[in-house]
Amino acid sequence: MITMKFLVIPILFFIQQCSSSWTDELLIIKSGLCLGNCPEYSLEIQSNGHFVLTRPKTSVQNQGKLKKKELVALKKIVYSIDFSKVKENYGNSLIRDLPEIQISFGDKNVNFRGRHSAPDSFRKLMLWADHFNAQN
Amino acid sequence: MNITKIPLLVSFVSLSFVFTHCKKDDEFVNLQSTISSDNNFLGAEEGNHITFNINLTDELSEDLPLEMQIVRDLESGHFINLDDFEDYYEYSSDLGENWKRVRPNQVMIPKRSKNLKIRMFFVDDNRLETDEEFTMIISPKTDDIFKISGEIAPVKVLVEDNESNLDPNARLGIEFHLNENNNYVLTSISKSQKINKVLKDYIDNGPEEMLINDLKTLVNIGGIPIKKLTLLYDASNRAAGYVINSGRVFGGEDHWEMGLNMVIAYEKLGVNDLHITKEGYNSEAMGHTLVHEYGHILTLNLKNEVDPNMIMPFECENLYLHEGCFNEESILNQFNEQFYLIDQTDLIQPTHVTEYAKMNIAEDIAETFTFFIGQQTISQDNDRSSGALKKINFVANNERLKDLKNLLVDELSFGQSEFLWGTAIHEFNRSHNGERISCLDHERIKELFKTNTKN
Repeated sequence: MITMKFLVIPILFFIQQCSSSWTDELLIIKSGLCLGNCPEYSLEIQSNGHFVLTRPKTSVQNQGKLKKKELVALKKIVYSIDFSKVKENYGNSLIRDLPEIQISFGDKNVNFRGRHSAPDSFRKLMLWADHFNAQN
Repeated sequence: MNITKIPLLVSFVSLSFVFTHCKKDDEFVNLQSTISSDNNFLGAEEGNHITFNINLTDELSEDLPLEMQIVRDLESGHFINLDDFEDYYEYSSDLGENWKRVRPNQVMIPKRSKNLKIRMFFVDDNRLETDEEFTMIISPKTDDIFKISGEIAPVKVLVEDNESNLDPNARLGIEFHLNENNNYVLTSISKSQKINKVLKDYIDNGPEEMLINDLKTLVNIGGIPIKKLTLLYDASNRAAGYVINSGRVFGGEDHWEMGLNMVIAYEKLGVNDLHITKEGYNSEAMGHTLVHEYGHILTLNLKNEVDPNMIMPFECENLYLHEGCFNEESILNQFNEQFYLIDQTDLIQPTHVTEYAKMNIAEDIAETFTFFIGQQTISQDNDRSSGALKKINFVANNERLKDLKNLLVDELSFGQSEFLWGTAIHEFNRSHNGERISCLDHERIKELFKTNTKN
């Protein structure tokens, strides 16, 4: 029981910390086609966990709310990124066949050409989103 | 005392001393001690050495042999190669004053010693390599003679390569440059790319021979060299390949780089069990990817297609893409005029050979070219043919592309039977009343024709 308390308190504290920093910004992750099997989707998430997942190929739109565990994992990644310091573009936009990935957080937009061009924190965010897309 | 007796006395005293001393040494018998070591992690740059420190709590009366065991994880991408370390050790029992060089099976803690230093040396070669690692397990060989307690903890060892990348910003994978002898030479290893055992094999032994032969075939037949080859092996990245031309930086001459995700070379597309393997190079996806990427090179090059001197879009009267302004007679400019500068609703569905071909005109022709090479027979198009089939016929009739089919099919390692990725061409054919039918299914065509004629 005591162990549970020790686990729950830091998690609640962590969630509260995140909530205070991610307020009304909309997080949008758009992943484009490539030569290969790159997933094509657009994922919009609010800080309360409400999401809209759109897949252009099938015109299917999923809406819902992230599970608490998913939201915690996502917020951990989001807060590892200092959006004020990131560049607008990563990778060479002249490359053919690598996917275009766009990530926006509030009014900050970042473009990537290929997942490998992204810094580690963004790579984690892309992997999270790819995984979420595959599961939903 | 008689002076003549002095030498006799000296001899007697000396002998007594020797006997006494020897007798004392013979009395020292100890085969019991506790062994320990200082480190469990060591690192060195190649060309240097590492030193293991071994300690005994009590001196032994006999030499204690040590077994030196190098454990390499051959499933990782960082195991040390056998020719990257010297086949000898040096040890010192006097805190490094004097060293004795021995074969690996001759390392020992000499009797009457409590501390031993063992040095291991790494070869300074001139090859670019990944950083390598291994675990050294040192254990005393007691042979039921010694009673040694304690243990020497396994030591993880990291050996850093001392060669530099040609491109310090290499991110995508491992990079090879075409040298003057027409060979691909390793020039950079991405620090952000996880190196697995397949990539390590490419680093140590060069890329897959069949891949290199296929690339050279494409270049020999197509005439545009691939100056840089970047290979990655990443199952989490589903991009199969890419190309980019840095020709404008190189004075207007083509300088093409091709990148390939070699995961697709060893698996059937879409089937990936995350088992890292280098077995079975030929996959349908690899064939498709290589031809698709070279299709870009054939249609976007500065040598024949794009005007290297025209930079600004407003100067261009033909098709303009980020590669530049296309010559009037270029393949892509003609493709543009025939299929893009028209009302798109005039094209009968399917308008493109694949979904990916819908991305843009450059992808459209690269995919169409791949289908042209990959399909055994190309049906003649007519007014009622789909846009996709018309496009394949455009490539089949293009002066610069039409003769490449047989040459490539004959020479490429995957031939033609490996182009199963994507839609089969019969999907693009329609009967005269608009139904899709197989152009290869003659019996069905005859039946349909009979039925339609009766009706």
